[in-house]
Amino acid sequence: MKFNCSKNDLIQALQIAGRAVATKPQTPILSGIYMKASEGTLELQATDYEIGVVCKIEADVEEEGILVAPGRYFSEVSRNLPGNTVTLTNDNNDNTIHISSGSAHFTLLKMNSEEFPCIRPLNNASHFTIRDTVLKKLIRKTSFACANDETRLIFTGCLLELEEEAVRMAATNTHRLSLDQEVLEGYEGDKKQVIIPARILGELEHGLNSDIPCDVTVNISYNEISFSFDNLYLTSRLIEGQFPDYHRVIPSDFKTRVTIDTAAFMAAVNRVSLIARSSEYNIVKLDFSMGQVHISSNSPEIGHAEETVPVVIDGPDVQIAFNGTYITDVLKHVDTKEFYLSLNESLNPAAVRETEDEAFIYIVTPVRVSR
Amino acid sequence: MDRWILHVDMDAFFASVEQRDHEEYRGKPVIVGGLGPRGVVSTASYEARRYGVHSAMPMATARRLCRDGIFLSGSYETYRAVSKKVFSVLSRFSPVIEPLSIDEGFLDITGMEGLMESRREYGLRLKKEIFEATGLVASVGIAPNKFLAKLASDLEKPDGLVIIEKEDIMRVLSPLPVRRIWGVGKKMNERLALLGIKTIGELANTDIKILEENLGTHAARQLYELSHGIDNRPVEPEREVKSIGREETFTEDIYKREDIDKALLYLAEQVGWRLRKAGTMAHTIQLKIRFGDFSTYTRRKTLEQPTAYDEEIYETAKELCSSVTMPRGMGVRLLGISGSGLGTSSEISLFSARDTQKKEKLYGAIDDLKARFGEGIVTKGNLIR
Repeated sequence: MKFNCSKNDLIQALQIAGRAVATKPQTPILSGIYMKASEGTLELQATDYEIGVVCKIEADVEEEGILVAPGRYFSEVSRNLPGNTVTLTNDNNDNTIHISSGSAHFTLLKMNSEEFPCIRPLNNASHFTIRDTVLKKLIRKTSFACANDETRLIFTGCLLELEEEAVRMAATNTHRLSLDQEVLEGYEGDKKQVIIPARILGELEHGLNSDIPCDVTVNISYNEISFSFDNLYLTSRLIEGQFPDYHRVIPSDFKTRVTIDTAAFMAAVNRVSLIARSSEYNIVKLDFSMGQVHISSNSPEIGHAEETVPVVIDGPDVQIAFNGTYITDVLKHVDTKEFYLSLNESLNPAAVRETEDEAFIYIVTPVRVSR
Repeated sequence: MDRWILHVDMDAFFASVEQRDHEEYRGKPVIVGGLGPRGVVSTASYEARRYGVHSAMPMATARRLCRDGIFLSGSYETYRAVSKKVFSVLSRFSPVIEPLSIDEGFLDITGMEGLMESRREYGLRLKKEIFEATGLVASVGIAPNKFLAKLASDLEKPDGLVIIEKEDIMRVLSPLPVRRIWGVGKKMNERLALLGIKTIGELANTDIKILEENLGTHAARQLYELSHGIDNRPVEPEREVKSIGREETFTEDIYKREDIDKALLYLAEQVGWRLRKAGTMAHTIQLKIRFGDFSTYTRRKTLEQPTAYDEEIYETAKELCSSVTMPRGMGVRLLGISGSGLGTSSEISLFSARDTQKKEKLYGAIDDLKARFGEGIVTKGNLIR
């Protein structure tokens, strides 16, 4: 095998593929990066069995071939090469990979390519296409609300729900729920629900960074999902299990609706949270009355913080306590200058909505503070 | 500055309250404690002590020793009220008070020389004011640390007042048996006896290396220091409550699942009420179970969210209980439930938010009734006896 390619293209591809290289591989081969050179293209693959990445770049292929290079060393060597063009050669009878660029020359031992679990496109899968900007927004507005706690696996993923002409994404850690939806033009398939691990969504959000809008093709089989766009193909296992009925947790009506300046409120809650203790759920108390919200937190052994922000209160006054993190988390993803906070009583869930976008809703439960 | 600690201990507290309130008990042996077949003595009056009755003794033994005694189950409400009066007197004598129990406590009187004629006068004045407020007699010990102060209050009981000056420490300590040291129980006493150590003086004169070899470094150092009258523990005014619990020894061993469940429900109700009264919630629930052969097991579970609700405590205790295999043919002698990992807040789950609101209202109503009419006013239907 022999090819020449742009060093920058190679580095970029390795960066993306590198995220799927197993850090603690179940078998040694998973620490490698698979390369296939053919017809002007170099294809790179990496997988840790949970997720898989395939990335293609242009290359001047002189001799076709397949090999697996040790992931970490190949990435680090490539990143540090001088010059602009990389030449990689491998004699089929030989156990080594030769990499040269500019004045530098490296030889790396190759891995056994027959052992590598190649990533193949999903067969027998239902599929749809979605604009990259739409998919990215859905991910950005929901995946932050997932649980980190691996003990409840279904909450470490986002629910993707497809209906005629509509796509929804929801995430919860059982104390908060984030839900966003978009029109899905041309989708006429069955109603479908799958739970996608937050990890692949993170990689996807990372990869969806092109300035030129594109379509993403999504394939869903019974236990896997894949996303392909540009020169990238990402695949992941789905999380098995039943996502709880999130409609049930969205209150049908609220007694009080408060309109709040997003940036001012977020900054104030951030400041007041400095005094809240993580061991006690970062409690931040909110007291809505007289056209303002009084934000406070108190830790007997640390100190006390308070701040007020003017708001517009529509309905009865409310006092309520939240985990401050759950409030600042969502406000980072609110895109409007002002937002609505809808409330009932002090132990009822509250809702955060954007003033100009009906599609997004965030439900958060208060913290119960003993009497 | 030299530390000075004062220890107050009410003399035969429960029995003395009974004698104060009942003229006919005065001068007679009064024994307060559990009157069931497995009860133990809480307090014996000095008249009863002459018959060899002492606290923690099985009630059956006490009855045998003192046939003419007056045996009472006691009225704890009254004792608590009296205790409150005692501590309100104590609060006039030092701002730093550590209550040890219902009837004893430490006062830090370091640097208060300007407020007292002499330490002896201060101690006498304290005893006098307790007597004026409650009609009861207390013993007082004053010494440079907690260990010595507690020891001193016990030296001339009842109605004692002993002050241990620095230069007298070893003279007082040396002849006393090692059991008088805090933390020396039956087992440690035996181990020390094997080393030929019977008195505190002998202990103080033993090479620390020998102690370390035989008792372990930690215990050895502690004993060695105490035997020289050294104790640096501060008087801690509000000791943090680490757990809240209740346990019950049954009059007769219980065998039936439903009886066990009933007992757990009863305990859970009490623990829930205590937690709510303290304005706190427990993250971990612990179950203690003792069988007829005295084998004792504890099981604990940390909940996803802290609770102070009876039924959540009950369900957890029941689950823990079913994880303990009952020895064949053995009944349950004791059950206990306690909550630890105490905090004042919990996150509400989205998927049970409606329940939380309902429960909070329900318990608000229940606790209101309990606070107004006493704990027994509301209970579960199947606990009504």
